[in-house]
Amino acid sequence: RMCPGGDMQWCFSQVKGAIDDDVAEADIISTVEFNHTGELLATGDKGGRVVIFQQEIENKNQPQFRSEYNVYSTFQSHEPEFDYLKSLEIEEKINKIRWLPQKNAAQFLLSTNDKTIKLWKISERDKRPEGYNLKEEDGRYKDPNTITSLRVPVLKPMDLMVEASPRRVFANAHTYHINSVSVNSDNETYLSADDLRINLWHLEITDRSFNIVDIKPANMEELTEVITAAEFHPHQCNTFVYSSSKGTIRLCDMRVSALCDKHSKLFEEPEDPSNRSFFSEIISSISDVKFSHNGRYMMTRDYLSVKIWDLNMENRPVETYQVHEYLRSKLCSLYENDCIFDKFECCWNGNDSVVMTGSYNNFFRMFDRGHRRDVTLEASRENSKPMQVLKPRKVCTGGKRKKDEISVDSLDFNKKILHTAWHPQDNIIAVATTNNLYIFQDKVN
Amino acid sequence: MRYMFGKGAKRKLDEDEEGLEGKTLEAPVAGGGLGVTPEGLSKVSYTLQRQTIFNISLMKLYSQRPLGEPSLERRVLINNMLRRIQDELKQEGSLRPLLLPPSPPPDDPMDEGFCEAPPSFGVLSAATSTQVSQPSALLMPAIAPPPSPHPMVPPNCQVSQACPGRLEACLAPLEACLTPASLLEEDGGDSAFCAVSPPTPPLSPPPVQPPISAPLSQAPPSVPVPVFSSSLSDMELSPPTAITRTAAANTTTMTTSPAPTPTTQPLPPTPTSSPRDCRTTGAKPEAAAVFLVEGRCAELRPMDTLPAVPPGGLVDVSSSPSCPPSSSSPFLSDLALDDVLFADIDTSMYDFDPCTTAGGGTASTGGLAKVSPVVTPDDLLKSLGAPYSGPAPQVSANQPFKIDLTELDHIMEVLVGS
Repeated sequence: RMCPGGDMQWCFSQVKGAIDDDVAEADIISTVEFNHTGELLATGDKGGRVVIFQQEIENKNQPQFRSEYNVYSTFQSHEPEFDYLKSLEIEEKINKIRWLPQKNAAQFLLSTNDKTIKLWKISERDKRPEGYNLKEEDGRYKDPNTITSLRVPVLKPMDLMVEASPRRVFANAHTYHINSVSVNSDNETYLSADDLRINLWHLEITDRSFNIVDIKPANMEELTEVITAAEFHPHQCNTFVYSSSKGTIRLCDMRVSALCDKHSKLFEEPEDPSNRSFFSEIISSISDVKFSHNGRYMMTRDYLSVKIWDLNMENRPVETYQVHEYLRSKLCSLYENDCIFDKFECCWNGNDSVVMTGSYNNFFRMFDRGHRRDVTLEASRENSKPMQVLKPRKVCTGGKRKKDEISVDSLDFNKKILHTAWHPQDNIIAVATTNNLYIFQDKVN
Repeated sequence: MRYMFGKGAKRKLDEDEEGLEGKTLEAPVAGGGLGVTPEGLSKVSYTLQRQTIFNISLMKLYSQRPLGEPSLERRVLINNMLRRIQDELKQEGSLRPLLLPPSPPPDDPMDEGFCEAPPSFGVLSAATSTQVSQPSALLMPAIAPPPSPHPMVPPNCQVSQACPGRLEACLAPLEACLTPASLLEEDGGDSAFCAVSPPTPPLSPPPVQPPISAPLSQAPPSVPVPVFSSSLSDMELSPPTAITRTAAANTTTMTTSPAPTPTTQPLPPTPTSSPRDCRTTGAKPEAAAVFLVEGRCAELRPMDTLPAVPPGGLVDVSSSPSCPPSSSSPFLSDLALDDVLFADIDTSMYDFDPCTTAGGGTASTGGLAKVSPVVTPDDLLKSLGAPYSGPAPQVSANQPFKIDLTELDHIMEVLVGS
């Protein structure tokens, strides 16, 4: 059912979250992730909670096939902690969720805050054993001497109950704030990255991890660059990449040495001198890096653009897409109000033909690589009638503003879409505004 | 704070900034350097823009963030910005050498704090406590180090068995922890130094009384012990085991399933309310944290505007003859004081935020309400110039820099518990 894009139209499907304009800080969505089949959609929020939605599979044969996502499980993943030594609070905000590929009936995901990663098991229970003869009616245990027969309980169906339990806690391995978690294709290990270090874990072992990248300088006064994101290659379990605040991406091979401080490849695009400004470095900082599903490309997001890199070409990206170039002349203001430090994520569609990322004013952008087309859409309550087709939006950069266009100065910089996710197989996308999760689907004709 | 909305009101860009940007940023910059003036862009407007960005950067770096630890990436980027501008100014030759206190001692190898270069003026460095050692170099003779928890207790002082193989925490030489004997004596033998204390159990909360920690993090005994860590030292490695869970979320399931075997370390009961009340932030607690222990914030409130350095200890910026000797001088060291002080700076950058402020109730929001700006550049110079001459200005909660030395003594007495 993959449409190549181009003429694809997107329709509103669902929105989750409070309608209230007053946003409770704990409800701010901080991460969104589909699992490997797309049946489950997880969100994490600033209050440390994880909410998992499950797709209800309706009759796929019907022409008006629509599947809805409904709440499947909700649990408190992380609690705020207090570091007494530094007199600092450790936020419970969920920075990342990553699903493990499913191996049995249960689902597993990794969720992390700034300091601690947890492996959660989500399992269903729809039967319960009944028929014990060990207790009285009121629940008290009978005196064993009074029990004269052996009764084997039988499993009876019950209402579905979804349980989430923490199976592993990977703690105390990060001095700095964890920004990334990535499960290896071997399904046994995963990496976690903070500002200065990347650690390799085994999913079964919580009391130690291997440090594989360390860019902390001996003298912290010399620190000028930090790690911003990291990810394992989807197929090669020895390969991972990490991006930096200076706009570089390093690809590392764990077979080369235990400590991967020396990269195998360094991806960096030379600066365009005509665009040089005080803010060049800041806007070059990469906020997200994602391998394509086929493992041949990777995508990076910096403040103004999305770049697609061929893993075999280090000196420049093969494609560059401008997300909101009209902000280039506003960088000083965006620096002052800190928006320039916003960390936008990006994602691929299932067949790597379209990429998506968020912007301000609750806009999000899609770039169709094959058809060389891009579109700007908006996630808003006004466009939330069922099946309502999303109308493309346009930002007017100067001169006369056409009808339906919005001028740059009218953009709401408080409404930012930082987190988006694309169903691994279908044209279903999840877009997180500050505290709402929008689900859009392609229009089925 | 980015998430503090108005009710759906669209937020406009700052008109002033836009005017500035429209003139300058649009223009392409020919050549390599950041500061090469492109055609069509007047030198004046470029300089103005650069100064504006410099001021903004300074404010960002030294103003208080209410929540937890500030982002290291953000601070690194802002710091880089400031350094670039400074380098440019240096190249242009518009810098006059500034008279500065001695440069900081070499970092303890275990010191993982990101030490931002301190601002050039002693008062600001005192107030912001970003400087590791410069104020303390002058502080130590004047005041005995308070036996309060130092946010930068050397990790090696608290090696724990539960250290998960993080080498830094476990391998540091013990001598980095030792307090110089002279300081021990000054302090009246208070046992609040970690010098030879055995590793403390990692997960137990520190005692209400200031835990054993030396107000030092540097090794060389000949160098005055820095009392205050840099503003980014909160980022650094403290023994990870010092983190204490405030809830037992790790070991409980969320539903009614049978309890799983806990896979986490045993969690001690911890106070859940007091830490929050006394929450400090990363950038500022250095000065405040010296005086504050969780649970004691209330009694220390009167002094929460105390700057780290008494007037007597301040560098006399205006008259000291020596130049900073070190090659790794702080990035602002070469700037002329004038350039920064008399620039049009919003003095809110001088806010001093200790753990609790006049409105103690802000703790629940993580908040460190800003002290309203009161110090003008002129005031700064006056207070720097003659600390002991003339009557000391009155201290009020809004004037962190103008503090009476006698009041300082009083405060120290309270702290030391005499």
